[in-house]
Formats: sequence, C-alpha cells, structure tokens
Amino acid sequence: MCSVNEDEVQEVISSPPPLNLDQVCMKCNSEKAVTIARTKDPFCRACFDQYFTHRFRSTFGKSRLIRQGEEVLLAFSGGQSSRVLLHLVQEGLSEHAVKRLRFTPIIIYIDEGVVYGYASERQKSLLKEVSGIIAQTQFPGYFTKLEEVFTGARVWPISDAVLSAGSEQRSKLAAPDPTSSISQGEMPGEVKLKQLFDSLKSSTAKEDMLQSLRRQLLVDIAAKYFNTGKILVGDNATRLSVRLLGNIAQGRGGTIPLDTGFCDNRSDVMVLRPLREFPDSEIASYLTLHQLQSVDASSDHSLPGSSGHSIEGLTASFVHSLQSNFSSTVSTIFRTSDKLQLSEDLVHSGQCCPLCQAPCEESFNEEVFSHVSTSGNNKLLCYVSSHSIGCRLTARGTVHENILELLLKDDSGGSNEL
Amino acid sequence: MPLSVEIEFSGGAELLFNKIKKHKIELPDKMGVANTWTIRDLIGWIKENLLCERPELFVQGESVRPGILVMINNIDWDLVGGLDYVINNNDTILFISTLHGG
Ligand SMILES: [Zn+2]
Ligand SMILES: [Zn+2]
Repeated sequence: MCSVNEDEVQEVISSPPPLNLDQVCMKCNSEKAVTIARTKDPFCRACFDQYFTHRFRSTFGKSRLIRQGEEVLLAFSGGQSSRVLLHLVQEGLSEHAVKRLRFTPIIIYIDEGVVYGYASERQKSLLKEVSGIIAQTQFPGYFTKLEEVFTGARVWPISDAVLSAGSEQRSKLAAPDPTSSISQGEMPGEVKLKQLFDSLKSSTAKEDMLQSLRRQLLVDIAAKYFNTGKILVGDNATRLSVRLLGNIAQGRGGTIPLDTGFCDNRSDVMVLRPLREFPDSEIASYLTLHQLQSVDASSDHSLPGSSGHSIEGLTASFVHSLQSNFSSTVSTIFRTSDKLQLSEDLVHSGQCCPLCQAPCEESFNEEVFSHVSTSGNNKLLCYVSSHSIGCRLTARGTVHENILELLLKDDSGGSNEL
Repeated sequence: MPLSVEIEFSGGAELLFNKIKKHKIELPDKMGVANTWTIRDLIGWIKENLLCERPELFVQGESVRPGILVMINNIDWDLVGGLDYVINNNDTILFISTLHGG
C-alpha cells in the first residue's frame, strides 16, 4: 500500500530538484511536499503527521511496557524533543486519537540553572515559560531543581511557578518561595552543586556529571514522590547516535544498550525513550508544522566554563556535519546500536556504579579506588572493563566531598538488580 | 525593488540575534547584477547585518552550520532548491537550530 517504485524515488532525489518548483508527497502522490522524512522521502503535512504518530505509537506498542492507567513521569525540559513528546502524548490521550494511549502522565521539569550559571531572573523566566506550556496541557505538572539531588529530591507543583509569575511582589513577602533557596544552616544544595561542577576539570566531565545527576534525580523523584516505575524522556535518534559514539570514546561501550535503547532498566525505575527513532530534523519539522514553541535555554550545548570541546560536543559536531553531507549518517549509526546487547557478565554482575548506576563487572582493579576514593569510600565507579574510564574519569581529581556524599547516598531510589 | 522578507530564528538560534525571534527585513536592490536574492546570499547578508555574536554557531562556509534546519514558507529548503532557492517578496524564512535541548 505504501510502497513506491524505489527507482523512481531515487531518480527524483538524485537529480537536483528544479528551483522553486513544488515537489509532490511520495505517499499520497497528490499533495505538495513540505518536509523530508526517513532521510529522503518528501511528505505532505498530513502524511508526515500520520507517519510520525504511527512511528511513535509503534515504538511504544512494541514494548508493551506500560500498563493501562499506569502513572508515568514525563521529563520535560522545554527543549524541542520533549516538547514534541509532550504534544504526542497529549494528542495520543485525546478523545479523537485513533488508538488512544492509556497511561496517565505526570510532567516534571528540572531547573538546571545553577549548572549553567544563570542569573536567578533568567532561571525564573525559563521556569515560568516552561510552566506555562505544562499548564496548558492540563496534566499534573511539577518542577524540581538539579541541586535537589543533595536535598532529598523535593518537587513543587508548577502552579507555584505560574502564580508567582503574576505577583512578583507578593511572592517576595510570602515564605517559603520554592524558587529561592530554602535550607538554612546547612550548606544549600545549590552551593554544593556549584562547587561540584567547579571542581570538575574538563567539559566532558561536566556534561557527563550533568547527565548522571539528572538521571539520579529523576529516578529518585519517580520512586519516592510519585511511586511510579517509568520515566519518559525525549532522547531522539540524533542525540542517541552522538551518545553512542561519545560513550565509546569515554569508555562506556559496555553499557551502550542501556544508554541508547528504548528501555533503560539499569535501576528499578525504567527510563523509556519513545522518540528514539526520530532524527532531530524530523523533530524540528514536527515542531514547526504544529507551531509548537520550545524553550531553549542555551545557544549551543556547551556548559559555561567549559570550552565546548567536550567529547559529547565534538561528537555532536562530527555527527551533524557528516549528516549534512550524508543524510543516512544518523540512521546508520543508530541501526548499529540496535544490534548491541549487554554482556551476560554485566547483566548478572549485581554491582552498579553509584554515579551513573550502570552495572559493573564484578572483577575490578584496586586501582579504581585509588583514583576516586578519599575517605575509605568502598563503592566503585563504573568500571565495565579493564579499559573503561567512564565515571572514573569524570570523578577523577574531584576529591570534593560533595561527590562523595552522592556516592555514599542510599540506593533507595534505584537498586542494582537488572 | 527591494524585497521584503520575514526571517525567524528558533530552537536557540535566536539567542545569537539578541533573543529576537522574528525580524522583518528589506533586502536592497543589487547593483549591476541580476536582481535575485538566493538563500546563499541571504545567509551572507544575515552574517553581516543581523548576527550579534559568535558567527561560527550560525554560519559555516556559505551555508548555515550543520544542525540548523531551514524552512521556507514552512517547507523544508531541500525541497525547494536549498542554497539556490530564489527569494520572493514576502517569503517567510525560518532557521531552526536542532543543536541542543531535549
Ligand atoms: Zn501526502
Ligand atoms: Zn558510572
């Protein structure tokens, strides 16, 4: 039904398109094409939507992981991918959906402003923008702050953020304002977080740490606060391709299936990636065609104080330039990742890294400890093979007590069993 | 006759343009040569006239940096000629960065 003579399509693509002339949708063969999907296929608006929704649903459907009526946390950063994810979930739950989704989403936003060094005004305005989008969906929405990894993973309803938008004066008088620091006496989480990031030497370490903390916090919140076992995240195919190559470079090759697969079940709380088959160009097309606003916190993906030349940043540039010349780059890298599996040793190791929570091989080298531990800390950072660097490298040189505090934290949020 | 064009930046690209998303601009007549503006010309013009900071995050060579998607009147630029597309009066041209954010 959907099939088309391959040669014909090839021909249309390989000869340079006539200037300013309309191309026709390859699927319905009648409407004007507005976007290109699946690397080379021109689609009209309606057929693109249909393709997109169908692919999203089948990624979900194949897994059969989410039960009817189950509450699921949806991690919303305001960025393009999670904006699209939020919209797809909203559409999928609406009454006019062809096959309705059947779970109940709870939306969570993590304020990472401290890490990016944003002024509190900027942080607040981002929060308000994001909260506005969440509020429109009518889903229950909450926000937290990355520094909450140190202070018990608290969350606040986004209505708090929306309310304080209109009444800046009042919220200054009223206590306690969740958008300002609360702890007295003890060192506030935001200071700890800032110190931790300042102590990290390389851009790679900072970005790696950010990912680990984000994950830890989401898992903690899902388990402790919402009692749910599933988190949806917006990772798309381009991002996952970058991660795949970046992880290999960082010595995390052993856990690629967890880092890039649909279901990351390294802890009791699963992280699911329903957008994993869409490259970022398709995400951007969807966003544009549906006129969705995303909230973009930074103009490039480097953290402040870092050169931008992190392994992740360089890998991203590499993948993007390759993609612009060879449009099947992402799909090729991506298909490779689907063929990889966790080694049996890792699956049954029963050990997990306290920072990234990935499983570790049981046999590890004493040297690991000398690199990371100061005060007799007997937990191991991920050490998936004798050549692995991973978290060990991220934490190296960070003798800061804040990181030890994280490492020694109770594992109540996620356990080691796969 | 000068061309009137609406340019829009999003996905974080606007942060390189004073955080202003929409720009209404007039492209002046070209001297001597055929009076056509292509997207290639426009990118050069933006670099000279609109870009506020760090051009390397927006421009690469005569095109946009890989990872920035261009939509012309809501149509993917690759469908209408890419860099060689000839701009018409009242076109809307969107530059959407896909380089971060999830
Ligand atoms: Zn069509
Ligand atoms: Zn680790």
